[in-house]
Amino acid sequence: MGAVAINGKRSEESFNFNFSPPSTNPLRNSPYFQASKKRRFSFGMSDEDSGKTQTASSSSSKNPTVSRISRYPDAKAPLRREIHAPSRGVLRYGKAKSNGYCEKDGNFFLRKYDDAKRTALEALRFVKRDKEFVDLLSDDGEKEAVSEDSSVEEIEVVDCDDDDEDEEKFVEVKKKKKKKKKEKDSSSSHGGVTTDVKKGNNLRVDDTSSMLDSLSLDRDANDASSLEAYKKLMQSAERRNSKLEALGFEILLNEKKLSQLRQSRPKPVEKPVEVPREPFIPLTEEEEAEVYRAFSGRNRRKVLATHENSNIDISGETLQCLTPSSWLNDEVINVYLELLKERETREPKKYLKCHFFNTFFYKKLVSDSGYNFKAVRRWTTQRKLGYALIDCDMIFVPVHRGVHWTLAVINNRDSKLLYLDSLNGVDPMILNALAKYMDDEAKEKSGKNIDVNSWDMEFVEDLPQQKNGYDCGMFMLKYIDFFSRGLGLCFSQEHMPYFRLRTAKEILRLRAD
Amino acid sequence: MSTTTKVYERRKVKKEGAKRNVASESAHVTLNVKGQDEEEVRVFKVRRKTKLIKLMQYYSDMRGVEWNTFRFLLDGSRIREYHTPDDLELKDGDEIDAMLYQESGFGPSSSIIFRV
Repeated sequence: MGAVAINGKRSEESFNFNFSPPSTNPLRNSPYFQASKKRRFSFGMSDEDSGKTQTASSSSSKNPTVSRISRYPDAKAPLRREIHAPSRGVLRYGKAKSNGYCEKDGNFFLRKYDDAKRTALEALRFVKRDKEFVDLLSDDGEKEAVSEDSSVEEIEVVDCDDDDEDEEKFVEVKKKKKKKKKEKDSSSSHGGVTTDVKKGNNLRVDDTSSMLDSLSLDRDANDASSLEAYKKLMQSAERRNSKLEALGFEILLNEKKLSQLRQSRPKPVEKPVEVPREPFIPLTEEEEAEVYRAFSGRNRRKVLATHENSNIDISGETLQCLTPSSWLNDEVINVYLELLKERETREPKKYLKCHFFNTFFYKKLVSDSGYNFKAVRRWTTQRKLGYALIDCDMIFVPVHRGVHWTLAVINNRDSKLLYLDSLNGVDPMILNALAKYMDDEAKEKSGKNIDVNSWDMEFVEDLPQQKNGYDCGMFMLKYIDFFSRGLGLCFSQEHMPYFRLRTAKEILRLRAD
Repeated sequence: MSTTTKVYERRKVKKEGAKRNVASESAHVTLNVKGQDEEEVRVFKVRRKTKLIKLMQYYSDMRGVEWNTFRFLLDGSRIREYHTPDDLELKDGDEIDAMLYQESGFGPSSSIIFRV
């Protein structure tokens, strides 16, 4: 592990060296370097010694371990092709890496270049490499020597890829004008240079300088033509510049359009989030006080609410199950479901047609002895309910599983069976039993044959989850509440304390809203 | 104490029933009570005007628990202790479900030990 880290650091350091050799001093003083010094003092020392050198290989001569490890990640780092990315594109793939904007103007040169490419490729590459080294190594000295010949080369180092290409093309144009002989000569001399590359910087410098001399000789001979070519290149560059500007404007325009579109887009997404305000209306202070009074100890025995229709009394003790972190009990749940039913009866247009089974229904339907339709046959008579069960849009079946409340929904409207578990559990048996129940129910009560086998069975996964061990009952109630409103489940764990208070308030008032 | 009074009352009920043989059918009603966790159905004969708390207490005693352990349901509707068979229009053979109360937590279904 440490070795890898070391290697990583080493490669980064070598890169740092490579990219800013003229400024080794600031590099040395940088905290990064000093930090590396702390960690690997041996490396730090060797780096300092070889501060001026470009390659890891040269530093390796001083410290064998360093050299061994430093060769690992980036033996090629010293070659530094990254600096002249377009030239690399040229060299490796044999194609000018021309960007779209200069294609039209560059085609002329491209063609010429392609012609010269095959014969001159090797030589070109060597030329390029050495030039790179020249530029970086010996700063002003070599640059000046080069600049005597053409100002374009000065531009090369400072400006963008565009100019690099120009310079290449210029050079290639020159090459083309030379005879093959000369190219071969230069290539041989370059070949000589390449062998020396790995040895030492000085050698390289010497060779490149001689090579440059040869180049300059060639150029002197062709001054007039070079000027013309130079002018042509400048013109093409200028044309390109104007195009660049135009493109720049286009880019700005498009960006502005994008931002405008983006601004206008989120609006429809925001709307559905805003709509369900009603389920989240906060309690008034008076209501809150009432609830907290009901939760207090002295009301334990007292009956706080009696739901006549369902014959359920809610005592203080029972209501206390709605205090935070308490488990909900069946009376509170059943009362609340009754209140939901009453809410729907009050305003039938606002809510879906629902039927809310109480918590004991599933227990009776599927008991230890298995599925038993007869046990619940009389639970849903027309006389009892006032409506036929299969006419309902949604049928809610709370399921009590020992220590956990979950919800099964028979979605008659969409012919689906859903199972919602705030802990994302799955139980196919429940939905199978309910499917069978619907089938039996339809046959017995209405004589209809529902093809329940064609119904979808969905174990809803994308639903609000509880993040504790006690809110499952509340989650189940809220799934029912939101579905009966026809809303999506746009609430979460953080709303639970509010929902508990709200449910307590609604039970005390015997009115769900 | 309560059991003795209950037994006495039952005997009383029986005697009364025996006396009024002709009209006995309407004075009593035979109810089946099925507990949640057992197969057995227990049969109770009660007077129509008697509050069902008697039945509940007796049944709970038989099961060995407090009387308010169970929720008694008739076809899904809750029966309360102050109801009488007349209130609910019970007929002979009607089945009452005795369900354990439910909490999402360590529910009584797991913690209650039945004596009988």
